[in-house]
Amino acid sequence: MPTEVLQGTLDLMVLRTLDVLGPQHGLGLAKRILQMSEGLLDLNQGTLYPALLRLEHRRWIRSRWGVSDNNRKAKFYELTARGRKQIHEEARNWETTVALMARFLPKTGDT
Amino acid sequence: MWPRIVDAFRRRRLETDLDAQLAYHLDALEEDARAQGLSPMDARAAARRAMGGLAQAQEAYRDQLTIPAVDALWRDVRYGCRVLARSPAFSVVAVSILAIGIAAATTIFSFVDAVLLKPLPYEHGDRIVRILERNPSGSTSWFSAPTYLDWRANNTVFEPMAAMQQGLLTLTTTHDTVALRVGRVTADYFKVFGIRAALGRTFAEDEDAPGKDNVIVLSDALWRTQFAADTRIVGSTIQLDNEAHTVIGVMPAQSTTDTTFYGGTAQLWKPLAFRPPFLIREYRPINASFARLKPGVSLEQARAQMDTIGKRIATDYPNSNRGWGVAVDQYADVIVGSPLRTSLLALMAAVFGLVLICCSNLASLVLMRAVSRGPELAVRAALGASRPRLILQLLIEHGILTAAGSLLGVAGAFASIRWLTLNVPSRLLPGEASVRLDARVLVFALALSSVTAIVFGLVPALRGGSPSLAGAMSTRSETQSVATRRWLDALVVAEVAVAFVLLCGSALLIRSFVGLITVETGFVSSNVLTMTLPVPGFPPGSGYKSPEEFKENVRAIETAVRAIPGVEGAALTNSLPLTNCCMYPLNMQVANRPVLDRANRSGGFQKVVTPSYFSALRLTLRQGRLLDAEDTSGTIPVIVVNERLARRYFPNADAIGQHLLVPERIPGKTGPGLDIPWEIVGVVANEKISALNDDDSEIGYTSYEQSPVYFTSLVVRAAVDPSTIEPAVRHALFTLNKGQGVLDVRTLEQRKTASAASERVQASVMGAFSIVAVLLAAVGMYGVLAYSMALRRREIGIRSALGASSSRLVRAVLGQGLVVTGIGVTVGAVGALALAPLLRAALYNVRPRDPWLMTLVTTLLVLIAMFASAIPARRAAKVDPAIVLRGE
Repeated sequence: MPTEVLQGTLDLMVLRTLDVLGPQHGLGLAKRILQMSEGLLDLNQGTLYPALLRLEHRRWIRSRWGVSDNNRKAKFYELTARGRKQIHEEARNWETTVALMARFLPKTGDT
Repeated sequence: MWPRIVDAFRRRRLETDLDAQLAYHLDALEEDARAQGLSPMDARAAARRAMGGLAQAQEAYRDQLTIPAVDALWRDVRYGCRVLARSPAFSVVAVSILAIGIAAATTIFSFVDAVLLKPLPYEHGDRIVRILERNPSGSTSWFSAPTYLDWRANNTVFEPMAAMQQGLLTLTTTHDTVALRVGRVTADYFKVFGIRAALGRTFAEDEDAPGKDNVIVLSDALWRTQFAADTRIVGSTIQLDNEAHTVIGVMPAQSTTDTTFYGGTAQLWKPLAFRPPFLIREYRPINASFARLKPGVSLEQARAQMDTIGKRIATDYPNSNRGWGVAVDQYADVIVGSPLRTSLLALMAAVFGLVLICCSNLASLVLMRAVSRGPELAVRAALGASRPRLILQLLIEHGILTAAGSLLGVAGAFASIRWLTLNVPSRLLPGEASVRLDARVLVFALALSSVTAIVFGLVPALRGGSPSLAGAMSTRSETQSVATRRWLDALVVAEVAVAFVLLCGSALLIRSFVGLITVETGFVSSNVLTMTLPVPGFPPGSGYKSPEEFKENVRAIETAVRAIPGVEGAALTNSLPLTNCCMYPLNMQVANRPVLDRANRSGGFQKVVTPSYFSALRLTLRQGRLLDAEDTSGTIPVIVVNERLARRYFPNADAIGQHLLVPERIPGKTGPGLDIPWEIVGVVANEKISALNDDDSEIGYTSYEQSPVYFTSLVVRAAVDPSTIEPAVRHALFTLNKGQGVLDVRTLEQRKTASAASERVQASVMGAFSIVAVLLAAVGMYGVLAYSMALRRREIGIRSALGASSSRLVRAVLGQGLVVTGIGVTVGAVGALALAPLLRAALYNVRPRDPWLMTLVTTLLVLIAMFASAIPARRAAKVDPAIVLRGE
């Protein structure tokens, strides 16, 4: 199962998810990413939480304690203005990477 | 990076956060699993599987949270704290010494900064100057209105320029009569200083013209005390000297630029309008002119031009101005007198000495500790700690001590600045100086503590940085301890020397202060109440129809006050003892001697008194008779002079019967009349005139009857505590004349105390410093001797085993203390001899290089040194050779 996440791509996934869904707690993020990847990317908690902290240190997201749907205390993460800007940056980088990789790979249907 | 550093310090909390998040995560997954129909046990297992490794998550999270350097630093700090806590005596002593040094230096710096360093609180304050006339003998003088108008009209260097005359006004309200200090100023006065009114406005261009000048600007203090801070006061009318005045503005707090007069600063301002009585060149009532240099004009250019203008005035009006000139001075220099500058610099130097002692005390503490910690450091070095690592560790320990000491020191400085600003009489400092523990002072404290930290921390750290294990572990580390002991001895010598200099300085100041308060004043100051009674009108006295009416009033006041029970005597004078207000120059020449033109006469001051002045103050008659009630306007004019005047003008002859030519004072006229001869009928012992250290004033006493001048102050000698009769005196004055204001009520003792206030502050602060310095030096000496004793225990043990008597050992230790003290005192004496003359301006009647004082200080220091070495010496005598030698 391809759950190894390419360095840098997780950041973009988290940012995009927060951009689309608004503030989320860690579990919500993990579920959403699993859902979006159609079950392919089941994030290890050891990957997710340090990544969230890293994003916080870069001031792309911020966190606060809130109450979840089932009335429990949970830490909610949300996008900062800086993070919102970063999405475009990261998306462009990703596209460049994809375009770059595409040149090294056979086009679909060639074989 | 910053958020990461912050988080590194709240790691524990963030880790708890993570645990909470993971717990929630787990619970939620478990619930999901249960919802899918699994049994609780299976659900939990499934959730755990889905979560993956919790420990890994925590580990990865923690990695994200630590910064290796910060982490190491934090560990070192904690280790440092533990090390310091293990030797509490060392830590407490070091921190207290640091705190004392930093508190003292910061406190004194805050005063020096406020008075000498900070720019004036005015826009372009460096361009403000004060202009006075300079009399032929070279001292500055008040000046006449025509002279001021000439200055103003002919200069091209100042813009704007203004004049100021201090005076009194009597405010009458429906229920009250209050005498107030007024600054009469020309229209541009506030513009010179760039101060705007807080409420309303200041004077308009044309309001200093006669007829338009019944407008008033209030000071913030008067507005609050007298008018209850009522904003509607602007535009209203008040009665001053029985005339209606319109209040046009209120100045902001602390905007008083006037020097002290009548015991305070200006309470309100009124335009100074030059009516005809002022337009006389021999009448010099204007206290000062203030101006602003035009941009680009230097002080020298201004001085040169004013010099030219002054010379022209001197040529054009020789009768009044021959030999007179103009004095232009930077305002910032004017408000800080030379005694204040000297004493602040002396205190700064003293505190610098104190800091030196603190530093050397700390350095010797650290040196001693470095040696006793030698084994520990050596073990650490042997276990692989690098030299930089060990130095860093020592630096961190000293950093912790410095931080604690600085914090305590700044807190101490805060308290002492507060205490001093509340307790030092405010008139000792210029009104512009605001003494605060502000950012500048904090930066100073910070810089000082970093320097101290480096001096006492880094140097020993570098010296003791690479201990050799073998050397440190052996108890016979004689070589190293000898080198260290030399260092320590040098530090003690330095401490003793600095303490000696400080002690000499404060001994001089204390002696000068004691001399000042016990000086022969010429009067008996106990049981005397004094106060000023303003004479309404401007110029004063213009309210009286005739001089007779005024004289009648003077007699009535004296009679009414004398009738009060408990009053032994009452008198009026134009000028109270120990003030330099309201005196007329005694513009005299001795009759039958070569004629001097009036502009170049000398002769001190004329004191106008009622005859009972001499008995009320108990002045001593030396020769002839005193003034008495028989001397009236109908009899020949008589004058009593003080001994100083008699000796100067009649050194070889009897002054009695001689005549002085003094211009007649014509009541109601400001200009002097023709010379009239005054017969000297008596000589009295010198009375202190302007201040306790006034040894120059030559005085002629004349009576109100023969020379009515419109300034009155009251002197009351009481049989009881003089402050208890104040209400009765006020009541008597009020009964006599409801419109009579009273100002500056103080006992003569209070005036005497106030006259020595700056000397008192200076002597006590300096005294406190030198006591602390001597104590620190003694502590330092004790520490070093005790330490070297500890190092020499073995040697002493051997010596006593070989038969040295205990008294011999005591003598050896005492001897070491005395040698160190001797060298320190010698160095200190050289320093004191070199530095003492700098104190001259702050000393009264004391020779700066006083051999007796230095002998006294030397004796004191030697005694303290003996005391400090006595304890280690006793310990030396008690060393038991058996125990020491067994310890090998």
